[in-house]
Amino acid sequence: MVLFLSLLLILPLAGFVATLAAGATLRRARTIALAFSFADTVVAGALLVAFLGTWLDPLLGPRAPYGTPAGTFPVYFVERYAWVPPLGMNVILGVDGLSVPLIFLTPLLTTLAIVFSFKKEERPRQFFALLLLLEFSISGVFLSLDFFLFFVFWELVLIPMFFLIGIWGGPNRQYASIKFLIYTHVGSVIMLLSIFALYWTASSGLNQAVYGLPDRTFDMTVFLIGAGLPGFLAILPLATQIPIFFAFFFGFGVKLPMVPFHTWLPDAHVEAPTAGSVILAGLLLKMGGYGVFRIGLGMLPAAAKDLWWLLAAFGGVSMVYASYVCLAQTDLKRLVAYSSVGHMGFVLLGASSLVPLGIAGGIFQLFAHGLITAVLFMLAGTIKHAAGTREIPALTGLGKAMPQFSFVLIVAFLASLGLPGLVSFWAEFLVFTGFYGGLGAAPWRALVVIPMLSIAVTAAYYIWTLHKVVMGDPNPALKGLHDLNDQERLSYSVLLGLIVFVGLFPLPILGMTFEYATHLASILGGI
Amino acid sequence: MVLDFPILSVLLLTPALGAAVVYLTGRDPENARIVALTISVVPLALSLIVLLDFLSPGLVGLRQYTAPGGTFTYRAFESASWLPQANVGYIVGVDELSAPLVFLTALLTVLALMINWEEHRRVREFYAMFLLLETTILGVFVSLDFFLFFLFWEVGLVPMYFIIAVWGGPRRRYAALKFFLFTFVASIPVLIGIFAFYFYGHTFNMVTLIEAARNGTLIPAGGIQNLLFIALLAGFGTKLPTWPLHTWLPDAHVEAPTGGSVILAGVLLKLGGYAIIRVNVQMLPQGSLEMYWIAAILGTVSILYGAFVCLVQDDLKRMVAFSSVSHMGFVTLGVAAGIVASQSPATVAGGLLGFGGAVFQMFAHGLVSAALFMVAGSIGHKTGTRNISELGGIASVTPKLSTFMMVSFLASLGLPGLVGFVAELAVFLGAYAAFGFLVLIPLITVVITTAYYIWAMQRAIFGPLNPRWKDLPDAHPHESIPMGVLTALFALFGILPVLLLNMTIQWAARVLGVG
Repeated sequence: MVLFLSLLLILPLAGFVATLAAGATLRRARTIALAFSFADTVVAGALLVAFLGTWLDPLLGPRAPYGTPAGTFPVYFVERYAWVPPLGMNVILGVDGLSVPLIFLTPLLTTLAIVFSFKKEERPRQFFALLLLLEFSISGVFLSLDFFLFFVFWELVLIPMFFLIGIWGGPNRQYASIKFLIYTHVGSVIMLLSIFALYWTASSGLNQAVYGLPDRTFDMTVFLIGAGLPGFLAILPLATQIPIFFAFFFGFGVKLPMVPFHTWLPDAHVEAPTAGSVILAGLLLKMGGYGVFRIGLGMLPAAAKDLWWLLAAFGGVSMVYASYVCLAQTDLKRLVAYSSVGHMGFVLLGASSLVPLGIAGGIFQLFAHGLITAVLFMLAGTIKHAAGTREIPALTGLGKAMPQFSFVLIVAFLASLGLPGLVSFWAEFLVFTGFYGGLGAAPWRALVVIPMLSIAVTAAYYIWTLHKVVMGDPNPALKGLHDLNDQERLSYSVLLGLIVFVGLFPLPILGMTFEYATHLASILGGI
Repeated sequence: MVLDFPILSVLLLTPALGAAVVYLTGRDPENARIVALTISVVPLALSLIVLLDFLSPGLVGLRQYTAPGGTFTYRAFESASWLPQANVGYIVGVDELSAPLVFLTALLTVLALMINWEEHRRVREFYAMFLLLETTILGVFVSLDFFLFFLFWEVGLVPMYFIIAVWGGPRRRYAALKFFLFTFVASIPVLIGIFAFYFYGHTFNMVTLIEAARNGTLIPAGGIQNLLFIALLAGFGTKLPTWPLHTWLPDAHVEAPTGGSVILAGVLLKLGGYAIIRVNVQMLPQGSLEMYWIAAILGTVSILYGAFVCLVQDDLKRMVAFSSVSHMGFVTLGVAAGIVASQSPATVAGGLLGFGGAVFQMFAHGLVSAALFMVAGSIGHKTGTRNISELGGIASVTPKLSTFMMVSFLASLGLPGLVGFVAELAVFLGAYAAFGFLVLIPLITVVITTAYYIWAMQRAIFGPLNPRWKDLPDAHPHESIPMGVLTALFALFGILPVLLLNMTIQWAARVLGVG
């Protein structure tokens, strides 16, 4: 067992402690936080490279699929540590094509959020420490292969985010942070019911089938591998899968978020400080999507096959509803928040297709949207800082007053509306193609046109906003407009570079996503 | 000699990279212009080489590719893997349909850069946008993978949007927004069509899809093909543009800067026609057979409607814009005529002429409308107005400009000896072969077109000189050179249409399945 994935947890945790301990001034706090977060990014980058080729094999050993008595399973770098063995709780970490892009995204966005917040004067020690705690918990969610550990990390995420919004947020932060906490917590509690249901009903039978051990366990690999075994439906029949699926779906649906469980998001996003919004939109929402693929499709395939239309319906409604709401927004940050709701609909639509193309598209959308939404929220932060307002009617002529900002805005908006050549188009294209050719969709293929109309509305609100904000003459009421500073330029360059590069050469990321998607589709098709 | 060199990739990338170079080196506007113009000559030269290989086969020796067991050959073919898991590849190549259009694009970009020489606002961004636009348009013509095709189709909207919105006329913001949203929404049925092709063909490779469609193994004939034909006709027809989806065009054309209108009318519209032939006709053969009459009707209405609206225009540029609507109707009509007439041996010769004429009309109209917009733009720029009623007798003060205007108008109305005549005659002959005496309906347009052009000429150039214009400067070199080049090409292809018409008719025969 190579101590590799644990590093991804140890580094941010150590950073959290170090920042709290030694980060007395802004300079020290941000430097310590940046150092640990950057180190974490390097390790995550190494993980990405390990999935792309064999260059790191001398260091990490060959990337071999996880072996069990029942067969091998495409999960890699698995680490197991005993925790509470009598109860079947262990610390199990592992990654595959679904989680690696997200694990890479986590420290990347955290590092850029730290860079972007370099001038955070208010209580910097706690601010940066909380960002690192957040990085620790989110990484834990993506790395966990034990249900209890997964749930602990899932819940742990809420606490730093609650404080980030509640202390450093906007005028309505108290309301927003409490709403966020209660809403997502309720979702998680219902999810906990599902976890216990799986633990009590099916875990021992599947443990027997996969490892030959009769104990109940929270080990996720038992379910993931068991789902592909012939005796799965005997142990976890469809009638049991369906309520469990519903409960999980509710929990993930609140996080994604899907309409109508999305109402926590606009307030939370708008009131959060920029770094908080970047991580909230860029990573927290992805936890919901990750859950849908990992647990919803991966462990409850029969239910997913039966309820694909539910996923598609919620996805489609989110896309259409959110895009229409965006048309009416005057606050730039609120517009971006609602556009996130709409874009997460793609994930559900891709998941509903049950074929590799759609699933890979949905997963890739998590990665693509993470990059793009990070830029969008940073832009909202920049303009609030420079102009003092985020109201679109007040922001005009920025093309002349802030050309660099406008350039980033244009590219980010085009990326978000899915312009081909940029990263999001691959996701949208694959999701739609997959849905059209999906397993369940047979008589209703043409219905794909309904969510596609949301693309037209999305283009409308983005181009219209761009039109108003970039063109024309600067508003004389806005004093002291200045263009990007160094930290902003750095953050934007990295993100835009990735958006363009992965848009032209998606194969490195899409390759591993497809590997996972094909495996998942074989399980879905088989049952 | 075999030229084993990725000529199309170089053709595609040069303008895009050139845009970056222009932006980086173009702080001094004169620098920007010269660098841009120099770079734009490269794709022109390359496209000419490609075209020569078609005109004189074997002269250049480009790499050829025919799908195993297939009918169609593509030259300068390149193929690289992009996303193998989804059967998406980087596949480019040209055939008799796209090679003239590629040449047209490169040529008109050079000329558009020249005609814009006097633009002084944000020069380097302006020229960079044109070069970017060139890459995207060339990309559509040479793409043989649907994903790549759609990528270029969509991305092309962005530089055009900015060209209109930033450097355009008084109502530019409205026109640019309308252009972008209209054509963006129109691409949704196109995307659905692409999904359908993938669903039935399991690939995005257009070469494979065309061959499969020809063998009848792609999409089952009947409801699905007909529905797809209509959806794709709507999507591509918006670009063409065909009545009733044309309403974005007058505003976009009128508000765009001169060079922008040249590219918009000269080349962007041809994307629609190219796509209809490449996708609707080649990939939906049975659907075309059943639904051709829709194209015929839309084409005829466009021809007539565009012409009648031109009669009442006072704004010269708006008149030329609507004449574009009218002339692009010939493409639709010719395609429809070709499809139906090639079914029976008695009319097949006419049908091929109609189809080949439609393809040729794209090239011809590209040249002619470019010249028309150059003239309108020059006059508008020099006089500050484009209203025909305000001009008058300027022939005496601007002989060069007036001559170009006259020649362009005559070419556009189809004077024999100039290129427009050949295309229109071919389409009319095809329409007669296909529809018999119904051809009289679009034929009326010839009279209307002549009327509005001669009347405009008479009011604007001839007659007593309006004293306002007595000091009007004549065409500068940066205007007369492009117009001169185009005029020469009108004459060349008017007298020797065989240069292109031969190969397009032979290709049409293969497409329509006759010999």
